[in-house]
Amino acid sequence: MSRSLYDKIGGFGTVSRIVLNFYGKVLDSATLARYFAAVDMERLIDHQNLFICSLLGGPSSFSDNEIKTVHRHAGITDDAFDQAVLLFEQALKEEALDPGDVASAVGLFESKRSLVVCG
Amino acid sequence: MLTQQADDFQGFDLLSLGVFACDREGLSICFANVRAKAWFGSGVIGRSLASVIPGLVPTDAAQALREGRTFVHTGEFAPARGRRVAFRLSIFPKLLCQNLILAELEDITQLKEQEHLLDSYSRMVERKTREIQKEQERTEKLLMNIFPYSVLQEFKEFGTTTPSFYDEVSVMFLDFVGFTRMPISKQPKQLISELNEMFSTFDQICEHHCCERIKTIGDAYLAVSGMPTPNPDHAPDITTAAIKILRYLRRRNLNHSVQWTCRIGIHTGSVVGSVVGIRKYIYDVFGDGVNTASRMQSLSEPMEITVSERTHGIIRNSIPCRCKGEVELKSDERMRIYAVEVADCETPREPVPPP
Repeated sequence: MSRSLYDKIGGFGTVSRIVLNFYGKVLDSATLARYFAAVDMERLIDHQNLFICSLLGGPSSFSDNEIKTVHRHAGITDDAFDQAVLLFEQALKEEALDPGDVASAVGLFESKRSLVVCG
Repeated sequence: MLTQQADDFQGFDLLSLGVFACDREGLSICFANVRAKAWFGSGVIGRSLASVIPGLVPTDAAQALREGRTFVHTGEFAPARGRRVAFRLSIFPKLLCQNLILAELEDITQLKEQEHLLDSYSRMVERKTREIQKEQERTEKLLMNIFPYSVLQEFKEFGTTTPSFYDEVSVMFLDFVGFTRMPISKQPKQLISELNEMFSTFDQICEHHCCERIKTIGDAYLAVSGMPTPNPDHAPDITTAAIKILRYLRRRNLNHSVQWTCRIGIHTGSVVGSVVGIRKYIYDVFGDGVNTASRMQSLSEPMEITVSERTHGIIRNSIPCRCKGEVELKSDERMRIYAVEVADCETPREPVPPP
């Protein structure tokens, strides 16, 4: 069985830092913070953790349907999603991951665009 | 006057904590340090602490202060700029001066974020563990259908099983008569439902008599007794199971439109039992015991149980049989064969053509 990206980059130790870093970047972003103003910290961290772990092949299965449901009323635009992709990429790079792994992870993130963007 | 006193608190500006000085009665803010103002704006002076700190219930705070306790309250707020802040507010009962008390606001965002992340991770892993457990149970159930219990235990423990030789076990072979010529063999759904029902009942009967079904091959059914779990009464047990199977079929035929007729053969001999296959496992049996049992089956009349000489030698005192004569086996060996006298066996409704 091939190793998942989640295991390859160092398991939850690395992923937890990526999740918190990404979470911080999203809330510090002028474009994105407004989408999450009403979401409490625990819920947002939980969702981002499940989303990222599931994306990288970790012990979570955040189904496409769940992703779609969670973002259904958020009105996220393509521009906002672009920004999120960029911040995710930054968070990955700050963990000094292999560029190939960064590209794979960003590609996986990008593949969920149609489920998240609805505005 | 309070403002004048507040000027004396400028030293609090050096702290990374948010600090408020409030009057004790109404918790009205008369001083906020730089950090507190950065979070809530300069307009907090003069407002009540409860209107600034989300979720703060003034009566609860007042009660604690009256009792001389430090009042602690945690929560979250969205500051004017930047990400949400998780805080821990402590209001101390000791007077700073005159009627003023101190409230400090600690930024525990990082702590909380990590706590939430760990909670999320634990939940995720627990869910995953439950899923894996369920999957394991399902796999085990599936394996239980393929492997006898003791073989499964060996397989689980060592990841492999050793082929075993059993010197004396009893083997039963059952085959339905004229199966391929039966009209039902062209109706897959009904056929499988009927076979399912009958084989499930056979399984129950076998289990009840310390026998173990090894496999079904199409309409044939193969069971053993005495392996892999030893059973000194393997021969009478498997013969009794065969008698009960015949009785069950007879009763079933009385109430069903499709009439099933079978031949059963039993032999006692040596057998090798082993798991066969690498990706598609099956527990199978080989050897003289199996071949001769199959031969006994083919020598049976419809709805008859034929047992070999060796089996008969063991069961003759407990189960009545009649001799059917002598037959020649493949190995040029001659053997007497016997038919088990099955009480209350009626003749089949319709004569069944020979196979």
